[in-house]
Amino acid sequence: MNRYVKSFFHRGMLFGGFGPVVAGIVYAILERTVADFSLSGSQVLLAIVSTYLLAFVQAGTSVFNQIDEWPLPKSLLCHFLSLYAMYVLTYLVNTWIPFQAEVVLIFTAIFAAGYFVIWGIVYLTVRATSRRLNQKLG
Amino acid sequence: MKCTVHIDKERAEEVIVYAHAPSPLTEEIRRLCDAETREVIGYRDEEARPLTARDVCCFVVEDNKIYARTMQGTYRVKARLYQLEEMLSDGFVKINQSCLANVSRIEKFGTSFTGTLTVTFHNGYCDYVSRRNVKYIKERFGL
Repeated sequence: MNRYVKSFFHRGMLFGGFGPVVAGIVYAILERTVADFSLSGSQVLLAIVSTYLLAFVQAGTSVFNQIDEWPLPKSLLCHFLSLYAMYVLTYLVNTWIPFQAEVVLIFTAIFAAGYFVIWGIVYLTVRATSRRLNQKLG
Repeated sequence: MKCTVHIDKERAEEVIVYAHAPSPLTEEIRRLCDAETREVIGYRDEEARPLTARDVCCFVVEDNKIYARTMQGTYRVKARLYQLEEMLSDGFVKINQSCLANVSRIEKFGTSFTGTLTVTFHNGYCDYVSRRNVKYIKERFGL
């Protein structure tokens, strides 16, 4: 098996379990803060499976930046699209957002903005570290 | 302490220290010299040659085998990465699960698009620094 594919599954299996944990925490908060909040068994099952897959893909796609053969824009695009597809699917199948074009568009805009803001902050922080290390290298 | 370095390609390389008593400085010099002269055997095709620490830019794991990436190419090394890490701890630092980097062979640090710190060595080889190892790199460089 291709080592990147292997790494994708390895990372996914390592961190996939965090998805349902986060979903559980969110549901626990909702239970305490929203009146008459309740979920059916099938809703809980769907949330567990979908958030597991979401976390699996989120962890696995971090391997994209290590594929030397891919140019950076391709890696960034694949990373963004994989995450976007998983997020929008998870939100739709769990009916966390309604299946309406304008709502999906707003979700897409917020997701894209959030993705690039987080990416920018992480990138600038690491670049600052890299510069300081290069100064030490002399 | 007075320090004089003579660059002379005609003479064998050696370090001689005159001191009144052993000190952290003399121990550090001894440790650096030991690390510099420690050798591992590198294999390539039919060739087997001793590799000193200064020859090696980094050791990497590929397909469960250890390779030394040097300025003269890549050599297979018959040792485990943790053994090399213990043996060469002074001049080397682990930058990710599969790469042991020679600090003196790092040409520059960079940033990948996903916000990962990268290392480029003097031989052009590039690898990434895992998040858990960033703090060790920072410590090594006094940050």
